[in-house]
Amino acid sequence: MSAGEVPGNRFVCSVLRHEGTWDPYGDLWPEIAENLRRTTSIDPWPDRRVLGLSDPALFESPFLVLTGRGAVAFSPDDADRLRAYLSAGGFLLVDNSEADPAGPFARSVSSLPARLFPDGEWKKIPADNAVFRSFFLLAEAAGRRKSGQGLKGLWVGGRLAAVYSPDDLEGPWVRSPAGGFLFPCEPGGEPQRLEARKLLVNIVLFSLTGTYKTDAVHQEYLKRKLDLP
Amino acid sequence: MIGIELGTPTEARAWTAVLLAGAALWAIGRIARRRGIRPADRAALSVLRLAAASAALLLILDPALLVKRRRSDAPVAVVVDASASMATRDARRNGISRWEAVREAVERRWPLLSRRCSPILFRLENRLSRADRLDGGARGALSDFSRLAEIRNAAPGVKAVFFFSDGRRGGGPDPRGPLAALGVPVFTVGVGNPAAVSDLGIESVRAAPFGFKNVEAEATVRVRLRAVPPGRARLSVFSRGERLGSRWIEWTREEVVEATVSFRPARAGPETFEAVLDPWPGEANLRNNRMGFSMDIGRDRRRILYICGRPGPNYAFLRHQLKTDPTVELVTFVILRDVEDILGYSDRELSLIPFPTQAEILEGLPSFDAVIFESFSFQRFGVGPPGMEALKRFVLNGGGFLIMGDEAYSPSSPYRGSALEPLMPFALDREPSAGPNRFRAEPPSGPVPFSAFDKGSVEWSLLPFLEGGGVFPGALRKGAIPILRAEGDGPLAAVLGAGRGRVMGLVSLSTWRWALGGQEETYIRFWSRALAWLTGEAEFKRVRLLPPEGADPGEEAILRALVRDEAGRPVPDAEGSFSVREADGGRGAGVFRAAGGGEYLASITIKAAGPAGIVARFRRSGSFLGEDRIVLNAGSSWNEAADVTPDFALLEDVSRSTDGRFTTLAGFTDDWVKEALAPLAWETRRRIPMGDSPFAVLVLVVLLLGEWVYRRRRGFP
Repeated sequence: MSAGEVPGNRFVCSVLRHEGTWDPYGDLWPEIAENLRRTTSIDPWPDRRVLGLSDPALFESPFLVLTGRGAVAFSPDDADRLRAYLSAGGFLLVDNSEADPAGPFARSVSSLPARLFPDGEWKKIPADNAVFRSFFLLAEAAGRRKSGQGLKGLWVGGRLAAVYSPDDLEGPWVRSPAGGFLFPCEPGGEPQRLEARKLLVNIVLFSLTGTYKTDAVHQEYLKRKLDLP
Repeated sequence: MIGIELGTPTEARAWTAVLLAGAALWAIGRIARRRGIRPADRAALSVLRLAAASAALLLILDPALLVKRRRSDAPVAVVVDASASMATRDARRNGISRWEAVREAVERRWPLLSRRCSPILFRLENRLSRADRLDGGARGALSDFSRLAEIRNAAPGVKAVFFFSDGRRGGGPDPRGPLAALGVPVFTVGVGNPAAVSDLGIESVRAAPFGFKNVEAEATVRVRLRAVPPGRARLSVFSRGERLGSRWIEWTREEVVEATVSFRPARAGPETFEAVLDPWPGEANLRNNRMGFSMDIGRDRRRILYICGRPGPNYAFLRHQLKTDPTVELVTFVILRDVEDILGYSDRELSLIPFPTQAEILEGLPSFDAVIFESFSFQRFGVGPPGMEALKRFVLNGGGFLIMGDEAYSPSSPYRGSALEPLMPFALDREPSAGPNRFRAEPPSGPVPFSAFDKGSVEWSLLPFLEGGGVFPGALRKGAIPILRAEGDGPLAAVLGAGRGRVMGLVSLSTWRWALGGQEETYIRFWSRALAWLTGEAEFKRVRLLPPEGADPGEEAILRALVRDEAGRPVPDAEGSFSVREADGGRGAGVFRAAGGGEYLASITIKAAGPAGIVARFRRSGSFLGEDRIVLNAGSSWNEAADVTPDFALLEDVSRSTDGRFTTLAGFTDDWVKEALAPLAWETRRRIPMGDSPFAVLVLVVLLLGEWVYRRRRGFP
C-alpha cells in the first residue's frame, strides 16, 4: 500500500467500536484477509478500519463487524445512524464472542432489530440461503461453539442486511503466540473449525455478491454437487 | 305540353310592371269616363290601349314559351349515411338500428322511385361510394357530409339527391356551402330519436406513450353517462382480443366518471390497445364503448449481462440496483476465484461454477440489450478476438456496452488493439494522466444525454467523494461525450454512439459511495438513466417521432420528428424518410424537411381509418442516425359515436340551402316522394322567348301608332 492510496472498490473490514469489549481477540484481520486473498478473487484492504457509529467513515464502510463481550448499548442517535446505514446498503455482521445464548451480549443484541425497524427481528437464515453457498457449500452454521441455532438474519427492504452468529465466528481464527489455535472448537473439533472459517469467508463473499448464488445460472451445478434431485 | 316561363324576376322589373299596369288602367279608365264617344270607338280605343300595355308588359316580363314532355329517367342520387352513429338502435321501439330502418324504408319506396326517376344508390362514410345494395351495415367510422358534393363526379347530370342520415357527422368542413354549390335540390330524411339515448360512452383514454412488456401500465379512461340509472360496469383493456386488465366503475348521478385500469402489455413494440366498456342493458349505442390507444412497449425487461472480474462493493451495490429494478432481467457472472488462487479444498466443497465458454457467451449475446464488463480480464477467461468481434457487432447492431474500471484505460489495457478499441469512449493510445485518489464527481460544462440530477450543479457538491487509482484517461475519443469528470481534473465517465448501439466508459468503481453516503436516490437515478441510455429507451432515442394531434382519413396531417445526437443536442442537417402501413394494408412513404432546432416535418395522408404503423429513419452524412416507430390511430379524433344524438337541424339547413325539403323517416311516404320528384317529371324540349325579340317591340310600336292614328282620325285629343 503506497502513501495516499485509498480503498476505492477494495473490500474493507470495519469493526465497530462500542462501550463494551469491542475487540476481544485483537486484530485478526491480517490472517482473515490473507485467507481471502489466497482462496478468492477478493482484493482485501490490508488494514481493518475501526470506527464508532458516529464516525463519518461509517458511511464509507459497506462491511461492518459488531463483536465483543458484555452488553452493547446504543443511544437513540446510534440507532438512527445504524438504521440509515443498513437502509442505504451497508452490511452488518454481529458475532457473539461469548458464544452464550443467555449471555449479556446475546441479550443486548437480540432486541437490536426491533430498535432499528418497526417490524425488525432476527430470523433464522434457511440452509438454502446464498450465505451458505456464496463460495463454499455449507450445510449448517458453526463457530467456536455450535449451539444449533444457526445464523440469524435481519432483512431490510428484501435484502439480508445483517447476519447474527451466536457461536463466535472469530474464535476459530485466534492463534496463540506460538502459532497454534488458541481455542478449541466444540463439539466438532478441527472439522468444525474449518467449517467456521469457511462460513466467515462465505459471509464476506455474500456481502459482496448478495443473492448471486441463487441465480438460475448456478442451480443446475449446485444441485449436482449437493446431490439434489 | 306547352307552358310559359317568366324572365328572372327583379325589383326594377316588378316596379316597372306595376307602374305600367297602373298607367294602362288609368288610360282605359279615362276613355271609359269620356263623354261624347261612341261605344264602338270607346271599345276600340280600350282594346288598342290594353293591347299596347300588354305588349309593353311582355317586353318587361320577358316570358318564354316552353314545350315540355313527361319523363321518368332523371338521374337521382339516393345516399345513405353508413357511419358509426347510424348503428345506434333507437330508430323504432323494437330497437332496430337507424341503418336498418333506412334500409327498410328505401327498399319499400324503391319501386316508386324507379318509376319516377332513375335512382342511383350511394353509401356515405368518410367518402362517397356507389352501392348496389344496402348491405354491410353502418360500418364506417365516421361520415363527412361535405363529401356529398362528390356526387357531381360520381353521377354526372344528377337532378336531385335524397340523403338519409341522423345528421350526426364525424368531421370534415361545413357541408352547406359545398352542397349549395351542387346546384340540385337535396332532400334530407332524418332518422333516429332526437330524445336522449341510453348510452355509456368512452370519451377519452390517457396512457403513457411507452411502457414495458409484462410490467404493469395504466390507462385512465373518461366515461360519459347519458340517460342511465345508477349502476356499475366493467372497464377492460384489450390487445389483440386478449383482456390484459379490468376493473369495475360505479356511478350514481354523475355525468362523467374517470377510472384508471392497470394492465400488463404482453408484447413488445408499438402496440395498439383498446379500452372497452361492457354493454349496459338496453344501451342504444355500442360504438362508443371502445376506444383505441397506442403505446410503444419496450422488451419485457431489459436483459443485462453483467460480468465482473472481482467482487467488490461496486458489484454489490450495482447488482442489487439491477436485481431490484423490475424492468431489468439480470444475468451475471462474477469471478470468485482467480486461477492463481491457492485452494486446499475439493471441488465438491465449493459452490463455484465454470465460467461460460466464449461460444456460450457469443450464442447468448443477441438476447441481451446491454453488456457490462467490470474489471474483467476477458482474455484470461477464454474470450479472445472472436469474442471481441462479436461484442463489436452486438454494439453496432444496437446493443449497449458499459465498461467499468480503470484497468480498461491503463497503458496495459487488454482492449488496446482489440476490435472494441474504436468503440471505447476514451482513447487508449494516449498516455493516462495522474490525478487525485479522492475526488468529487461533477458534470462537464457541455450538454449531456443523462445526469444524476435534473438541473443545476449545487447537488453535486453534496455528494460523497469518489475514489480511484489516481489515474485518468488521457483523452476522449472523437465523438465521445463526457458525462462526469473528477472535480477539477480529467474525465471520469463518457459515452459514445457506435452504429445503432451505445458505449459508456466509467473509470471509478466507487459510485456506491453515493448510495451508502446518504444519496441513494442520486445513485439509483444515475444508474437508471445510464441503463436507460445504454438500452436506447424511448426518452433517449436519437429519433423521436411525434404523432399528429389528430389524423383524419383522407386529410393531410403533419408528422414531427425530433432528432438529437448522443448528447441530446439537436441535429439540424439530417436526412429523414418515413414509410407507413395502413390498417387496410395500403403502403406509403415520404420524406422529412428540416424545420430548425433538430425538428423535422413531413406531411402524411392516411387513407384508411384505423391503426397505421409508421417508421421514420434518419441519416446524417450517409451514416445511420436512428429510427423510431409509432402507431397512429387514423380517425380517432373523429369519434362520431361519442354522441349519437340525431342532429335534424343540420339536415333541415342542408335541404333549405339547396331548395330541397326535409322530413323524418316517418314522413318519407309515397306522396312526399312524388311531391319531391314532381319538378323532375317534365322535361323542357323547346323554349321560345317571347319578350326578348324585335317582333314584340314592333307589335308595341304598331299598337301605339294605331291608337294615335285612330284618335286623330276620330278627332279625339
